[in-house]
Amino acid sequence: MSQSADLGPVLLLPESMLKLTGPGPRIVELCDGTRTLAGVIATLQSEFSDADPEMIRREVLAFLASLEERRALDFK
Amino acid sequence: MNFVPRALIAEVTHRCPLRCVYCSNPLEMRSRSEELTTAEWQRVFGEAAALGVLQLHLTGGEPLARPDAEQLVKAGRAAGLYVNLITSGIGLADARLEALVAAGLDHVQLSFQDAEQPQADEIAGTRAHAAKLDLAQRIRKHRIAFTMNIVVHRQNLGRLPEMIALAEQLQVDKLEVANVQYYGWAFENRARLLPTRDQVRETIAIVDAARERLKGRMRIDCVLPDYYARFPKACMGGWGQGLMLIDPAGVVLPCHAARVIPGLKFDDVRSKPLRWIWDESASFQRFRGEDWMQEPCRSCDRRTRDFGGCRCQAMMYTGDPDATDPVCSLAPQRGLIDAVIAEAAASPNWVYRINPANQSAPLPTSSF
Repeated sequence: MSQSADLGPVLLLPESMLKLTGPGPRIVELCDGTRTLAGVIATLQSEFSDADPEMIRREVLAFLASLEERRALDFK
Repeated sequence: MNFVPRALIAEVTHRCPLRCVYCSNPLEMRSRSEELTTAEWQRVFGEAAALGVLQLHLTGGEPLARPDAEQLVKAGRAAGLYVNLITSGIGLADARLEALVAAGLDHVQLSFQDAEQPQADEIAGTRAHAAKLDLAQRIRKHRIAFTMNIVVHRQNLGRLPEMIALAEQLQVDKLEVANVQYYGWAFENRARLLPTRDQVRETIAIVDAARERLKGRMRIDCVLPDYYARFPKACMGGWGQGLMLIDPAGVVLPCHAARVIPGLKFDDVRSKPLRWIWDESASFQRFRGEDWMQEPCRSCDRRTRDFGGCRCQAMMYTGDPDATDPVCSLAPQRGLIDAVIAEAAASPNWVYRINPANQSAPLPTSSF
């Protein structure tokens, strides 16, 4: 993940990049290789306590699945 | 209009242990004595990052022919860039691979010439395939992004399923199935390299099926020959709009082939700041915007998407760098491309290049 002066937070990938918006940068930051998937979701649910926890869970799963498809992350 | 470069292609040397029949380096190569030093590259990476560049592609020639490749990786990372090493991998021992990863390398792109050794070695003009297979397994042990690049053409496209299987076996994150682009040395050999129309159709079907099957495990990028396209490629995302290339001696170019365009003076980072070259120099301004365009581009709806296609290809075929890219079905000179397609049925022998950059200074065998 990198901070671009004019684009804001971006996730740099082989010959491409993803502009991260909303909670995107925080989710990427939490995928640090030590947290479990459940741990990432629980952390976000506590940080965004106003939002529906089930919605957070669904959106995080969808976001991470899209990152996996782009080969930006591995589930272990 | 304000254009921000996002990627820097750094050709850190033209020296190379391979002599591929489709080499994209210019016909006139730089010698070792002309190459930018470590400190000069370091400064240039900083200037690039300040301009907005996010990605650094270390390439060549063979970038590992430079004994300071690890320092270049480190300098790229220190400038905040995502560092990609584009390599043939020849002679890359474990200790050096580890040093490159420790220096902060984000991504390795390893080139293959085929799935089968004899054919791969014929294309490379040297025995390289076995070493690449060995290296691929060692790269996979590291936590870095790993792309396998196979340059495809008429002679090897029949083995595309085997190439995909090899990429799967080597567990790469991304496979690039890249048709030869007919510039540099490849232009000389285009009659032997251009696939048939049936091969192109089959490629699309095979790649689509593999993408579906490998979803989530491996991405596949596929570059088709633009000679068969209805419309031209948006070459480099538009001239001087998002990308720049710096050659071993520090000359800054909008693309690999830009030197074929006559009358342009390309500035170098030893005498001018990179920001000035990007923003102000005549060569980068030359095809920005639409003022240079002729018909049919000038009034075409696609001009904002493909920017009239490739200026170098227009030059190489029509002698006019402002002409519509001749691959375009709307181009008045499309017949020139159709003639090449027809001519490609006959197969002359390969023309191997000689690498003059190697002759004055052989590769350092101890560190490489």
